[in-house]
Amino acid sequence: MKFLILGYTPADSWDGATADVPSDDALAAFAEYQKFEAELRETGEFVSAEGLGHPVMSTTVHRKGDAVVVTDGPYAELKEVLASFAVLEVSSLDRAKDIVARMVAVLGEPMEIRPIMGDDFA
Amino acid sequence: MNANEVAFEAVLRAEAPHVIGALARRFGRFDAAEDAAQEAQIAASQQWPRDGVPSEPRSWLIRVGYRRMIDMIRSEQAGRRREEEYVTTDPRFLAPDPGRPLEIDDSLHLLLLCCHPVLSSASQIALTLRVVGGLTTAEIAHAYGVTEQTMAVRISRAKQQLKKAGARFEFTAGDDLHSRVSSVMRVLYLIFNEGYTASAGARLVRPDLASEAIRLARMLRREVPEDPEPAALVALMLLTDARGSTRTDSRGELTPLPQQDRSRWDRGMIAEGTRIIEAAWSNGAVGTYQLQAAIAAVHAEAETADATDWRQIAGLYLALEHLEPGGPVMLARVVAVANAYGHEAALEVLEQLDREHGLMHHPLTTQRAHAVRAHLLERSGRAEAARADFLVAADLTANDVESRFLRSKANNFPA
Repeated sequence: MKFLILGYTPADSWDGATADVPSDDALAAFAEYQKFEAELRETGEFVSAEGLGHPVMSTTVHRKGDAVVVTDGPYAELKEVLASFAVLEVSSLDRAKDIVARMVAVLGEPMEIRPIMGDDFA
Repeated sequence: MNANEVAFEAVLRAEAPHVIGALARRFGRFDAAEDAAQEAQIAASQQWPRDGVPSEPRSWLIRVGYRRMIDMIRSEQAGRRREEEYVTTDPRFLAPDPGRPLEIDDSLHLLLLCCHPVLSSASQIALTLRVVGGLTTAEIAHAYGVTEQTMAVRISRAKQQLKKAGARFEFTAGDDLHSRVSSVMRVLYLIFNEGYTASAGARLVRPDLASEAIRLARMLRREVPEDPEPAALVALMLLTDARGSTRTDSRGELTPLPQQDRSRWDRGMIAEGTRIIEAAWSNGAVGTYQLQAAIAAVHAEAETADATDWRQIAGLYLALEHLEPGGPVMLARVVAVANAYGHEAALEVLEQLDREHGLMHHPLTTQRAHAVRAHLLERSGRAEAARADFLVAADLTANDVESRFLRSKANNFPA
């Protein structure tokens, strides 16, 4: 079954002055994470992962009456914003929790595990 | 129940472990999955008789269970958020790989979970019958002679214990599958024996635990076909159950093997049991269920009690004693030796076993050991010693019928 892993970060820290200059700790953590990602590619459980641009870069498209309206900016202004996502294909939610717990232990920021509806739902 | 309802019941019982498995996988919540699956079953038993069985009953049950599960979790979350401290409570996260799940069928994952070592035997049995067997709490309570309330508490406590111990639905490759399959076999054999030894009167109101144990053992055998022991367990149960109706007389009293009416043994079950144990036997290493099934097969193939191949049985008991040295097995070997090689040889074996293991005095074996020795001494003509042993055995038994029998034997000798 597939799960979407949503990585969140405080909007403030994204705006922070040091955002473009990662600390040594952050680089070490990321290197550690990449080793883990390689392990998951090996087992076939890793499908894909991407980092996202700043939420201010978002464009929201919605329908208003008969018209479709395009608005600059995110769908909702939040304190914690989506910063990255990954797709895992694993045997169970428990297995997804094992993997994400290790990611969070390394990277520090909260993540959400969201089931992707698929054939194995039924 | 009419024929239709019986058919629905069979479909629901067979699907139960798969439905619970699918929900537990997706939600990681075994306890809630079991409740949701049960609600789906109730919905099915109301709708199917009216609308017919859906073309894919398993998908139907999972879909309905899934919606119930969402409702349950939502109302629970409204109360409080569930939090698990993964990294601090689960030492496996210190290891590079937390353990890959084993690729086995959901029903086996579920059986292994229900027979988890943190649970007592009584809880393992109750949970297995409830969750894998799909029996109702009321039926299980009936089978074990306790109130429904008591059984409901036992089952819910067992689920709590599993949760507290961090037991998960999926069995991982790092765990010891072999020893866990052994505990599943032990639980199934206990269920079988409970059904098998039920008295005739009680049997009328009991769900047929022996048949249920056989059904679950067949399932285990399908899941681990490379292991000969689950196959042997199925054979042992079939060969034993084949004698079922001849084990008690019209008054409900036990009829010993030599006096049973062999023409009433179930030939179909004997043939299947024999075929399974023969196939399992050629599979290399020999385990305790293979030996017990082989012994049952030797008994079953004898046309009359006198035609029994006691030498082979004595040899099989000796092998069983090596694997699992225990008083009951040793005493059974003494009886087999007596039939195969005569009472003097048997008395020698008994004396040796008593020297090495204290069979005559150990609280678990002393009664039976005295009764066995009494019979052997009687046959060898040592009346005074036999009489003394019959009286000791009569004093030690809690069973009135047996006590009367042993006392009458003692009184047959001139005092």
